[in-house]
Amino acid sequence: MAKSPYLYFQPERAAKLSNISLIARQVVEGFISGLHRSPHHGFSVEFSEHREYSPGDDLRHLDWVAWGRTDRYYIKQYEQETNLRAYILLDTSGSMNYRYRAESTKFQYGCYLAACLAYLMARQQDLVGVVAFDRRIRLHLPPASSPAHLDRIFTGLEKLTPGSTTAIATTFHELAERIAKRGLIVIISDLYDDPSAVLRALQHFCYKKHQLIIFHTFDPAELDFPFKRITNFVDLESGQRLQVDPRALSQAYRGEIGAFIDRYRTECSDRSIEYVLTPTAEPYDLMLLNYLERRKRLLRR
Amino acid sequence: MPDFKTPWLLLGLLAAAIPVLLHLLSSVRAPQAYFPTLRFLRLSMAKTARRRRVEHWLLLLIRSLLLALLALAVAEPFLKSTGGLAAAGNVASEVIIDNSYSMSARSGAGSRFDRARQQAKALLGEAAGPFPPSVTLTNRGQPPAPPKPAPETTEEALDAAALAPGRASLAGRVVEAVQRLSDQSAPRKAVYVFSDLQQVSFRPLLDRPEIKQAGVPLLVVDCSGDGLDNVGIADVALAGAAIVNEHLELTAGLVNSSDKPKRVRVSFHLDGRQRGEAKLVQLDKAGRTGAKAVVGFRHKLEALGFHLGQVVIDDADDLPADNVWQFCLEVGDRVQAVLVRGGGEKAGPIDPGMELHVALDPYAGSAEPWRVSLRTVAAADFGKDALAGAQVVFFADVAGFGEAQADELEKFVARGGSAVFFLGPTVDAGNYNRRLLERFSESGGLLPGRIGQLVGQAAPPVSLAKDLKHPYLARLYETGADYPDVLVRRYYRVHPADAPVEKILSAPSGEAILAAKDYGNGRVVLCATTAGVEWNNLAKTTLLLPVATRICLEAGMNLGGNHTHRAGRMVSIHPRASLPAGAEVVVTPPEPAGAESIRLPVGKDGLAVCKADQVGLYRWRVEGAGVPDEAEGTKGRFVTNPDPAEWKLARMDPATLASGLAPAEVFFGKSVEEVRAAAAAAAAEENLWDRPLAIVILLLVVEAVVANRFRRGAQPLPGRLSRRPAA
Repeated sequence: MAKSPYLYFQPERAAKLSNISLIARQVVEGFISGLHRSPHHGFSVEFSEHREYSPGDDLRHLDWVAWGRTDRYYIKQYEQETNLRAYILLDTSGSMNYRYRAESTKFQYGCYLAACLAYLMARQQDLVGVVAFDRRIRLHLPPASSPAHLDRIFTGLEKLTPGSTTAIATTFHELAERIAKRGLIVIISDLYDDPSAVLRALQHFCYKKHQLIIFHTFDPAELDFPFKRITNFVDLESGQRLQVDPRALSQAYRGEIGAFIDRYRTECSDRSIEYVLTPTAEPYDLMLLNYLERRKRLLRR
Repeated sequence: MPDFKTPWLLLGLLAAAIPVLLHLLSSVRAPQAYFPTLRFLRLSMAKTARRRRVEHWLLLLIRSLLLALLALAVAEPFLKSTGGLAAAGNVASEVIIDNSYSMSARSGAGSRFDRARQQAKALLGEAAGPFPPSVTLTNRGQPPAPPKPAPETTEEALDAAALAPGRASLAGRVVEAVQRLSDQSAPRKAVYVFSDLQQVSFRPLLDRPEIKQAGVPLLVVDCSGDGLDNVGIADVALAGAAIVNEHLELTAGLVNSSDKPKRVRVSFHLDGRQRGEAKLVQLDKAGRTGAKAVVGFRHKLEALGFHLGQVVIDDADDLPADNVWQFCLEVGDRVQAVLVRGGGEKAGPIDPGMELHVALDPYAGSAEPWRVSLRTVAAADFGKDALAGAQVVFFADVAGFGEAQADELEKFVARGGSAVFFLGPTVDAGNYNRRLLERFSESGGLLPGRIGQLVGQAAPPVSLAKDLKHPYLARLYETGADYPDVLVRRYYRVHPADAPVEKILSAPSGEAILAAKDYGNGRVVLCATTAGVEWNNLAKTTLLLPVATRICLEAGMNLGGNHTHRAGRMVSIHPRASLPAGAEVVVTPPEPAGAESIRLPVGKDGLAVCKADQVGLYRWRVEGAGVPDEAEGTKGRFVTNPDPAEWKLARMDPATLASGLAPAEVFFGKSVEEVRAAAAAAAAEENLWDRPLAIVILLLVVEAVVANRFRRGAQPLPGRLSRRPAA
């Protein structure tokens, strides 16, 4: 297979998923069909119903007839049989730029994962967009599925660099408002923000009828804290320093990080949000494969 | 506090600072690492802050202590078992001060006793701690002090303490002290002895196993000082009768304890006046044969009554107490003798008692100054009254004795009288054996032997062997050949008693014919034949008179003659008068002047017994209702001298004492400091290195447990931190 011209797109890995893409597709479809089972309206050929006009909606779909009758603006909604509108939200804050002994930083891992997901969705004619953010949105590519769009996604990812501080909750709220159409929101982040604020923001997405999948990304060192010596730790985002004797802390640290993860896991479960703990030690393609197969088994029950 | 064998290794204590330095350096040199967020680290630190603080300091302390103890162990600490005696506060002590007379010898500015007292007071003045020392004097028990040994009171009592007569009862005091210390719980114990190391005082310690076994060290402070210039009177012997017109002979033994030859003047005093010329005596230095000498005096006793005499060394030296020896003589008119005449039809034509009578009173009561005053009593009249005032009683062929008579006779002899038995044809041997021998068998019997069969009725006379060295026969003639033969035809066999018997005249077969022995304070003499001429030629020889006279004179010395005693002993006072019931003897001691008199009851035996603790002249008198004033025999005197053993100033060899008392430790010195230093130098060492090492091992275990308690980095991730999909 020819070498990919893109940094974060690895066709050989994507090919592994492509080999089972049928299954994935079926899962996606099943998943999507699940979506589709609920009232899901998109821009297919078949007219489905009206909804009130919101600023920013495409005026091509404005129903002038309905305006003439009611003197109010309505947008036509169409049945979308197979197309999915997905957003991949990639956290590019400073905390994502961490790697201890893994092959890649969390940011790089996230880019790989985002590229792979974008490819899979585009390949299935789904619309996929990418939003990269730290304390503000760094990249916003609205969903599309053309090869050119995929190229824009891949190159856009390559141009990204990890930023500084994080403002996840604020960004999520903003995106929840901006993303008008229901779709799939895939979040790739370490979620190092105030969990309550983040969960409220996620709730905002849920309110907007989006389906969420969170790939909660950690370097393995963040989970098992393998440090032995007294170390001066430096915060990647704030630059603050803290001297710690890891041997005296490791158990308590694990407790804290575990509690942090547990909360997200539990709260996401309560909100029907897909939560996937994603240590970067596991290759993203393998992780994704395992995840999709698990989903497939669940959906077949 | 322990000492250290290699004290320079204590520099290793500085290693205790290493954990602190490492801690500081680790903080300074800690590596830097970027981390996504410090949030969870801060939360963890907040949660574990207190525990980490405790753990941190605990580990720092354990590690510092570990290194410090290791340094201590390597430096080999050790304790000396008796070295700790210098810490007076932690030592239970018994202090024994020798206050025997030898301690009156001069030592420096004062006497040995002054020196001992001073050093003892200094010892008492040290911080007492929980074990205040108690003080004992060797002679006359503890100083008069309140039961609680408060330092002030004990010191005052020490100031008031004085020398006491008698040899030092050191062994007994040491045993008592050691036993008292055995009951104490103090970690260290010691007995301090302040003495002059007199051999006579210390040698008895070797015979006391309690001292060896107790394990309490003896610290002997030698208060004798350097050198001693002294010639003392070791003993005095009086010879002769305490009878007016008789010559008194004194023999005084002198001992030079000095380390140089000495020449001294010795004089004899009687009633406060020197009699005769003083005599110069030359003595060699101590240790030489010539260090001892004898000097004699002879004086005619011209006046009746009590006389106080002294032998005096006129030259001053370091020990004045042994320069004077006193005696008290009651000079009597004559020896009061009683002759009890037995006999009867069986006596024969010549009354044996007559021969004795002539021998005892050759001048037949004339004005001639004869030494014996004789009364004759018939055997039937013999009793208590017959013995009143007598000093010696002769029995001539007395058939036997009643029980009361035998008891009276026994008392008479026991008090100091002499009883002389001349057997004869009327004697009932069985009666004599029952009443005089068996009746008093517990005291050895009132006869020198058991009277057996009468022998020699038809045999030719035998010539008796004579003990020419015996005082009864000695020096009567120039040579042994000049002595007349004593021939005996008949005599009673006398089977010798178990007690030592003096055989003055013996048959060729060895049987005693004239035998004598001591009984109580008196004497008994038995002649197995008569004084008459039918059985022997004793009365015809020139021996009967001098023998009988000498027996009388000897009796005269024992009873009422010499009133000289050793201080510290019991003295029997015998008022020679008939006393009414309830009469008391009042004794006035010699010191201090004006001291309270002692009142003593008179016992049924007519004696009052007094403990004469002090040295000097005692006076006594009888008081009570019905006691006539100034009646004869109702007052008297006696004098006491210190125990002559105290003048044996030979010193105990310290090495002999130390080896003899082993395994108990004995240390010597001239002062408390010196003796403690000797103890410290010889102290056994107890190496303590294993103790800090044991603690080090314990601390290593504790450190490992504490340090590794929170090292759980290698544990697997909990399940919740592993990836799993949401439900």
